[in-house]
Amino acid sequence: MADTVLLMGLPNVGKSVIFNRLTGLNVHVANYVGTTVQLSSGRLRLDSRDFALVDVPGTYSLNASCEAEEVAVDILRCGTSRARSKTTGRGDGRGHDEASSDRPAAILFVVDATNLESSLYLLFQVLQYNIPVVVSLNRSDLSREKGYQIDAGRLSRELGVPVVPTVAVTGEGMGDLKTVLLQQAAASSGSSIQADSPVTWDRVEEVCLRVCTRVPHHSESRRARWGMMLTRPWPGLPLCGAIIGLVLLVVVGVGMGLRQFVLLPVFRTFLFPPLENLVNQTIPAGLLQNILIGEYGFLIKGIEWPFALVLPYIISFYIAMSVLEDSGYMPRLAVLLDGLFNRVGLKGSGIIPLMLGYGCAIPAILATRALQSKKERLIVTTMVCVAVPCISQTGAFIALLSARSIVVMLAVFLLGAVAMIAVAIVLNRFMPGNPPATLMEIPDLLIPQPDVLLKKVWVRIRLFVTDGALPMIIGVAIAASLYETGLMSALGELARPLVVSWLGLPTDAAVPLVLGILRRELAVLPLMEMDLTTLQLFVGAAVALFYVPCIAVIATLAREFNIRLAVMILIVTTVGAFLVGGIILRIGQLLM
Amino acid sequence: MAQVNDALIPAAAPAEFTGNCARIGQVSGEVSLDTLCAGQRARVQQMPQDSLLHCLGLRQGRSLRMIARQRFGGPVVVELDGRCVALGRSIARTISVTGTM
Ligand SMILES: Nc1nc2c(ncn2[C@@H]2O[C@H](COP(=O)(O)OP(=O)(O)O)[C@@H](O)[C@H]2O)c(=O)[nH]1
Repeated sequence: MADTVLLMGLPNVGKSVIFNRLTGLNVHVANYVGTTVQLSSGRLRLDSRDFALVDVPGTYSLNASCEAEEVAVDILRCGTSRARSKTTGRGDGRGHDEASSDRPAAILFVVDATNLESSLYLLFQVLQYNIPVVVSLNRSDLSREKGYQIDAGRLSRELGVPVVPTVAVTGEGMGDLKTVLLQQAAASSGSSIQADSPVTWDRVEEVCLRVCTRVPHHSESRRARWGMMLTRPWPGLPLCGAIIGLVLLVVVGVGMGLRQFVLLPVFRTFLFPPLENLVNQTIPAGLLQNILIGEYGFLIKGIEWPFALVLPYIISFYIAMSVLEDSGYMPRLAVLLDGLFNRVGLKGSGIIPLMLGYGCAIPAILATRALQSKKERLIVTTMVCVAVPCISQTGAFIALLSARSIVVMLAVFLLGAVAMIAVAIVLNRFMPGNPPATLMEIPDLLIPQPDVLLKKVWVRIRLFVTDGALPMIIGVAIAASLYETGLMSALGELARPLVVSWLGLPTDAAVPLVLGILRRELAVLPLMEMDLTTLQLFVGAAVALFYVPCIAVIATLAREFNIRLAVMILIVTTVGAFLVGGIILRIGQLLM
Repeated sequence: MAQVNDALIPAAAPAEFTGNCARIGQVSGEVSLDTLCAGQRARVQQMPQDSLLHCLGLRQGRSLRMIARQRFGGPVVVELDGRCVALGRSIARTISVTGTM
């Protein structure tokens, strides 16, 4: 097994960017045993030696005051073996275990040059473990901009470890970092200077004074002024409304544009005609041909739906989300809305998984791990599962409704938002406990780097193709087979009392309800092929909105929480969807 | 819930969601952090010995500037040594500061 190099530092210092620069594509993510903390590990090649670079969760100290800190301490003491073998229990990891073969070969410690003091406090604690350390003095561009001058040579002498100034986002200093890291990994012990004396803030402040000078009367940058404006209620709150509006506009506008003017024309002129020709020539008319290119034509819809209908929104959504994430706007949003969120038992930071949920519920559920209390996790997860449509389903809603009735489309999204708030209020009533008070650092506002951004979006697209498009194509294949073999009408007859009598939809509408279990948008898309009235469209869309989240989400719930929650969500969403659908139909009939 | 927190605001600051802050200008004597107005500068006098607070730069003797008091009973945001930290009102209330210019 390759030696490990630990990547450590405060939260938000640029560890992920450095990790991505130093490792290749082969990244392995594992849960640390018994915790919700995830460790990424990637191959780091230095000269001809291979190391495993492990991204240790960012923490402020090693005082073991939260799960992430406990994990960091455990890894420093006993290595990363628990991240791999899930069978080993934890608990015996308390004593020093110098002989362990798993001891990290070196630590790459990332110091935030704009936040030297806190970085050094953590670094001093890390140095006590007597493992060779290389310091990357990162974000040095930002600290210069703020008017700080840090003497890297002096810092290195004070610490007794090599210090390499870096700018992770441009790659500056990465080459030096690798060279020094290789030298240090060959050494057997850490810094002799700082290892023994106790870590106090006084000591940290002293070192800071010696290595860092501040240019007096340095003027605030425009970025910093914007950062402040977006943090204050005025004009931050109105700007927050404007930004969210703009994001919606970009996601829907770019998505619709890509579909209408790029992907659909390309598919319809260059791909489908030759495909249809090919099938016509090679496969005799009949059942099989109909399954391939008939009404539900698996080759046509199976390609058009995932790639011309959903993909554009995946692209536009993740571009917008990545800009929000990488600019440092999300923490500001969380702070601005914290007071409101408090009233439903949440903290402002709950907005992050909620917004992710509009992309896909799975990353949203995983992101709830960052929330502090179990109650917050449960509330946000339920909100996402019950009432937040994923981006694929949103794309499907837009395709189904935008041409027929903008009012119904807006009503569906409004209904979702209202239901989301209702879920939070109800759960907050029935679950005891208040969220712990907010305490968080608000990072600087940054201009996102286009290459980092594109890489993120690219990863999402790849994930959609492998994990999203495939189940969707299978779903369409099932639909095509059911339809062409006549099984669909049999199914429709079976579901008649529910679908026809209660929801007022045609018998064919039983199909999306079956397929919807597979993927959320499949609960919507088949409705496009039916000739529905506006009221039927609204009923169908509302049922699809509240209907079971897809099967992958249910599996994630069972894994992240327990089977009980997964089953409860399944029941609540199914019953809720039919209830709401039936009520809408009856109210609509009364009004018309 | 926010309402519970607001009920605990000392009598000097009426229990409105935005809360009231000390008068503009010099803060006299020791006050709790949550009573500062945006823009006021102060020095930390007494505070809980909390590791995370210390790591975020809140330590005795540190000077800070109030940046914002969030609406709806939300947190206050202070600037310390070039970084911004958001503190829930219930935490800000446990930190006492004296005004500086
Ligand atoms: N200007 C500048 N930005 C950086 C640098 N390193 C990281 N960033 C940005 O800082 C933010 C946090 O980085 P990230 O890698 O996500 O932090 P992590 O929490 O430590 O993994 C991102 O928006 C990065 O683009 C740097 O050296 N210079």
